[in-house]
Amino acid sequence: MGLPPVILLVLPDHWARALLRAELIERGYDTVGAPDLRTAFRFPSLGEPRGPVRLVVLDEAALDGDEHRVLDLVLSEHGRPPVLLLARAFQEPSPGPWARVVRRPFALGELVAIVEKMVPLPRS
Amino acid sequence: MAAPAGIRRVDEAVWELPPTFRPGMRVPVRVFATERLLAEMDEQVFAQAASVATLPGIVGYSFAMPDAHWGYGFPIGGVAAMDLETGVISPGGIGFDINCGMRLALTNLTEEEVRPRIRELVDALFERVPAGVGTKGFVKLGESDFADVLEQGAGWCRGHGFATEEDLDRTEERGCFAGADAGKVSARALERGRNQLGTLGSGNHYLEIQVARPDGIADPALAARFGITRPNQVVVMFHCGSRGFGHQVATDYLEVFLHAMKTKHALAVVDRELACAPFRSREGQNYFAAMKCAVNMSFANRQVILHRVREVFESIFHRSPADLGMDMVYDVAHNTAKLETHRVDGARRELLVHRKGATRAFAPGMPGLPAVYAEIGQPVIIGGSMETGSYLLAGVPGGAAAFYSTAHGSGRTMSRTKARKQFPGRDLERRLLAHGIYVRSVSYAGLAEEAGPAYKDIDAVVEATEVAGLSRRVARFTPIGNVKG
Repeated sequence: MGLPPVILLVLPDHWARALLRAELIERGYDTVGAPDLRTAFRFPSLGEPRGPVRLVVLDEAALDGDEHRVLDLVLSEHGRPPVLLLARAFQEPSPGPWARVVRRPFALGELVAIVEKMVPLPRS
Repeated sequence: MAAPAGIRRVDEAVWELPPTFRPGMRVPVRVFATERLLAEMDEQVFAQAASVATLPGIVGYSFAMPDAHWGYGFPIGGVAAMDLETGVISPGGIGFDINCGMRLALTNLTEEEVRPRIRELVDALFERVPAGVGTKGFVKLGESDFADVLEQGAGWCRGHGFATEEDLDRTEERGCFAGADAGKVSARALERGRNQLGTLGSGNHYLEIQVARPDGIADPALAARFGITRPNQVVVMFHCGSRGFGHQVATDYLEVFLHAMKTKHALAVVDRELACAPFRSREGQNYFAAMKCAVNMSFANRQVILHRVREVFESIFHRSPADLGMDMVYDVAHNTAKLETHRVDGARRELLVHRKGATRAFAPGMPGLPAVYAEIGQPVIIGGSMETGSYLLAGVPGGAAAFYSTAHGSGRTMSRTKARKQFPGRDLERRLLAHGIYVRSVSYAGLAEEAGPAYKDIDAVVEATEVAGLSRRVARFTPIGNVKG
């Protein structure tokens, strides 16, 4: 089996991030995470022997304060991977380069199933 | 102290050393720490965690918890899971004090009721729960009785009037690791351990009277589920292990392993302190069976101590332990290797999880939790220094990222020798008293070793476990009386 696919998680709530990270690691993914886009741009700089970021899971709350420009920098840093937006329940999702939008509320299993569909794990 | 240049941040309180950090690493190292704790971490932690990552059969990551510090072979605060077929078992990954652990018991007394009698209480506990190196307990056992203790653990205590059924329910693995075999233990170990049931030991072991003050309750609803229901409620927490018995078991098998690694298994390790044997080998299985004896002896030890604590409270407050509400919250080990089933790459696998100075922290709904905690997660007991306080935490689902493990205490920041030089025991005793903490210790030198500044900031450690998503805060306890081993 090669390198596990890397998923970048940008969710302000550390419990939600930890839960998603644990679930993805158990399934065979690698994750990096950050509470906001500026931190994501600063610290999870990846290099060998990790593979590239294959998907960004982005909580819409991380876009508050017009962080679209920072998002663009993050995506550019990681070779423009697809973005899965976790949108708010009762508002139209803000426009952006979303490969897929999931509206709250959602179950963890549902979210992970979407990740698995978007970034299939290599089979040994 | 500084983190190595190759370390990368992979989340707010998660750091990683990639396998390229040093030759031979089979998996990355993951360190759970805030920026501050990482900066303060002993650099040996990174080197040791990287060495652990070279061990055959290691799965996922070599982990270091926020309280990690330099230990024998593995860092204290280290977690490593091994494949059962290709992996090894290493005494250095468990520690010499096998099943060193924490126990927390409730009372329905308040600080206002206990403080006027704290000297009397602590003095009586000091007398009834022997502390110090080589002390003997009140339970006198013949060889075959002791073998029963080793194979039955806290269950033996139940049969001899030292435990209730509820106590067993609220002890990790009901106080007995199945498969312990006293026949795999040396005569020297048996001799050292036979008279040590009910004793606290020395070093950082202690028995403490603590208070759950309202400002220390992080989650009132969860605290209530664990039995913390009233303002300034008094609880009893203690920390001890398998005494000289566990130490002897570890010493015996380190020699066996060092010999067998060369002569039989052609096993080379980067540090001889990582002496190990293939888990499935005869040596590996013998050690595993002997280690379980030490685990069980330790569960029994803490159970007998609780029995004595209940007796002391009964004699001081003239009410029965039941009337005083002296129920156990939980007993959890932090120095073991256990077979556990975890999900790896999407499939459930049985692994040998070494936790050394790290606590199992099962999330709600996981098998192995008593019914009373099934919905709320496993209680995790984190002992701080005698000056600062301790914590009750709970396991959370995010713990899966580290095989459901979390920190175990504050973690030392300085050697015992340095602490003895820097904090004269008499001064410390006076300072503690001025802060409302009455201490009885076997020696001033031993007391000095446990001064608050010799440890990391417990609040920072606990915060890091939360930010890393490994466990959540329930309550903080403030000490008012301490028996120091």
